[in-house]
Amino acid sequence: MRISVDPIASPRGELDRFAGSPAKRASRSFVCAPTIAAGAVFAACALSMGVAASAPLGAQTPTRIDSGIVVGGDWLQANELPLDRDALQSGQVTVSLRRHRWSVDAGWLRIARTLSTVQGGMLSGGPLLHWGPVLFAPTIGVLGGRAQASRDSTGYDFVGPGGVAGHQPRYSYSSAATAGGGVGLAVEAPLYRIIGVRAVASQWFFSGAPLEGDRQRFLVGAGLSLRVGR
Amino acid sequence: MMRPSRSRVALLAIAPLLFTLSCNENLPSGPDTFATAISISVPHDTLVVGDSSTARAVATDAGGRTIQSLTFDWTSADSAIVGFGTPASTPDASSGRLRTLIGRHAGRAVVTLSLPDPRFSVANTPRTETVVVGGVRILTTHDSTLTAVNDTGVAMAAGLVSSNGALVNGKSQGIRWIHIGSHASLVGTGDTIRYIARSNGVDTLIATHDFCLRSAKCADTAVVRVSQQLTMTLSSHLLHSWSFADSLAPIVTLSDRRGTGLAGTSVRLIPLAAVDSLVVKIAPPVGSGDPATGIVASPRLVSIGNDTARVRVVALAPDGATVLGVDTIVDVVRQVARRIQVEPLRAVVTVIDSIPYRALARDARGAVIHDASVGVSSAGIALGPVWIGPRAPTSTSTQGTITPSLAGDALPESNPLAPQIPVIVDPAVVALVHLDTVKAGATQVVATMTVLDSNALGAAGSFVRFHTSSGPFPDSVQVGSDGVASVSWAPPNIAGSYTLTGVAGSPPPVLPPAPPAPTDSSVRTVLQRSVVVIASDPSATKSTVAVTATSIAANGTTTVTITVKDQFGNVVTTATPADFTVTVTRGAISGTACTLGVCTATYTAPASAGADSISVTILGVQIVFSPLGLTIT
Repeated sequence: MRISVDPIASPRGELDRFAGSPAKRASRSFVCAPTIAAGAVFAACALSMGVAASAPLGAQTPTRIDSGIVVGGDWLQANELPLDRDALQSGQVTVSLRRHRWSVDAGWLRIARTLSTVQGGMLSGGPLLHWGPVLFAPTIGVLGGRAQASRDSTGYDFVGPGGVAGHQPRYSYSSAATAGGGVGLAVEAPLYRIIGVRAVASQWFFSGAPLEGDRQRFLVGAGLSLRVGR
Repeated sequence: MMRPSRSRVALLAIAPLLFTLSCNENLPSGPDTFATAISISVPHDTLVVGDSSTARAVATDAGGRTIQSLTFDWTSADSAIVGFGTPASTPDASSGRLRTLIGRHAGRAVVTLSLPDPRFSVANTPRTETVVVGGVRILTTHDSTLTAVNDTGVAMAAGLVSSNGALVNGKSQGIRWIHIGSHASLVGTGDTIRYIARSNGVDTLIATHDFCLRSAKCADTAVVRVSQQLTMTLSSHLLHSWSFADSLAPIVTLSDRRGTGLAGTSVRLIPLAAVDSLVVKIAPPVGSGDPATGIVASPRLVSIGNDTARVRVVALAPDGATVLGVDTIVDVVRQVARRIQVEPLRAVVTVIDSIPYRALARDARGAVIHDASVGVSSAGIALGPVWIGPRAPTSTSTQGTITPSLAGDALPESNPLAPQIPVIVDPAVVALVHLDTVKAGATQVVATMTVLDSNALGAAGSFVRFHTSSGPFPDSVQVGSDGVASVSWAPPNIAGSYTLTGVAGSPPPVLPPAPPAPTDSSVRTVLQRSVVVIASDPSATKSTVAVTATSIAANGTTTVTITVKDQFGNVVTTATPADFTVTVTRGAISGTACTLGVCTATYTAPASAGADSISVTILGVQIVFSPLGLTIT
């Protein structure tokens, strides 16, 4: 077990220390980010679906990654860096069955935060929207898996030498099954033949006791996709 | 283009899953507890009783940082010494981070701070708080004097405690008393003690406190003086003595108000004048005094003369010089007769002899009352003013008595305060024995006498000493247990009258080592025995013959003288012509006659001249100068 006593690494410490400082404003933005991001994702999804509905098929440029079986892998830690523990960062691997206008994805999603991990099997789906060579894939999905979290609920505050205030965390670890749902938007563009590159943003909500009070997860990342079959 | 198989797809899907599951999440957990140290921060650890101090609980973690927002518990090992104030409504107070310590009683108590928080591994922190008094003060007198043993005094002291910022007397703060000295004892502890006088001297009492503020006056001193004020009291100021050698003294008590004396005190008795010293003498004390009761061993007044003596009583301190009290007593000495006697009480006297007598009275101790008026009456005996006897030599043995009688001041009736005991009358009994006559050569006489002491009892063990009118003295004899003594006396074998006088020993002194009361030894004559020694039988060896002339004419006469003597040369005054035989050769003897041992006869010479002889023999033996030759012319 590793115990971090760095006040900066402590979420609660962050709150305390950043209050009233530029970092504090950042922290506030961070706190609001999941909601804003979810709204943005939903807006992007709606926009994409609208575009897909209004765009003529002939205007669409066929790509090699919009159909068939596409295997993808994404790194999803972009908005939660650094990950202050020695663990695998957030990401997902998916296997998608794509048919030009829709896509069904199955895969493994892992959302790693400094003090929590949610991971499990994921099943999502949604339309595929084409804008030129770029493929927009708004998705809605569910996840079943396990949530693990450590909470600093019983740490203490202190005043160090020189009157510097700080907090000493004390973590309680819990783990339980979780189920969640989320929406996301992937923007994918062909990179080379059957290889595509994509950017992903998604907003997830999870159940489970370990995530009590901290059920939202907003993911931003990037990845590659590879069509492996038709 | 190759078409991937389903197994490959599945493998691709499962591989990340397995990879992920195999990873260690390294989510932080714990720690279960934090190593923490807690401490009590107070301005000072010493409180004056009544004062308070704010203590702060401080918890620091392993990095030395002060942990915030904790709740502490405080306990006092002895809340009677150190208590806690009611917490204020502030968060720090209600959570125990600040706690008011109140000094309630002098002493030392451990205040323990504990952190009842399971997050922290911390040992309770004790801190010893000392509650002190702000000084000690004796409230009662600082110098007291007790004038009697067992007198008591009370000393009170208080520890100073804080009240509204001022030091006031506090009760029951545990005053400790130090007692220096041994002239008083202490009873009790605490604020008030009682001291009890035990002996003269000075003790010091120091009130102090084990818990007293430094730089404060932590001791106060009181001096307890014990100085007995002794008063002399006499059981009596008037003493009566009814006998010489009576030893009297009043009971002298030299004690303080509570009746306790002082060891080492003494009493002197001093006759006021020289005449008083003729009445009483001072004898050493008998026994010893008792300081517990104050009774002092007093010298004794010993009566030696009939009169009134005034004696000063002086009480002296243990130093022997300081006079504690003076008083005067009077001793009235008046001998009262217990017996009247005529001495000697028993005597054996030859009728021709006389012995002195004395009528006297004795007091209860046997001392002679010289001023007693004692008369006598006799029966069967001639009595002169001071002599018993003599009677005619031919008197026969008889017995006489002399009876005394008393009158005057020595009578008990004349002294109503004296014991009214009837006077015992001891008459003298004198045995008058006839005059003995013994022959020379058989002179031994045994005389028996009875010797009584002044109590008319046999003077067993006493001696009778003898002297004689002539010749050797018999040795002294000791009186037997029956009061009878006998002596064997052999007068000389010389014809004559001899007297043996026996004198009983003088009585022991009534007041050793004072000289014995004057006693005329003559009145102790218990034997006055006279014996007449007469010549024994005629003896040829001592008897002589003589003639007027040894040349006698024929038919002439001459006187022959024969002196008859016994063997000791005593003239046999009772000699007769029959006691000897006179023979002549030729002449003739006639007209023999004896007078007082000298016999004469007439010798008639024969008619013819020539020699003749006279022979005198006693029992056939020629006496001296016999035969006596004669020449007849």
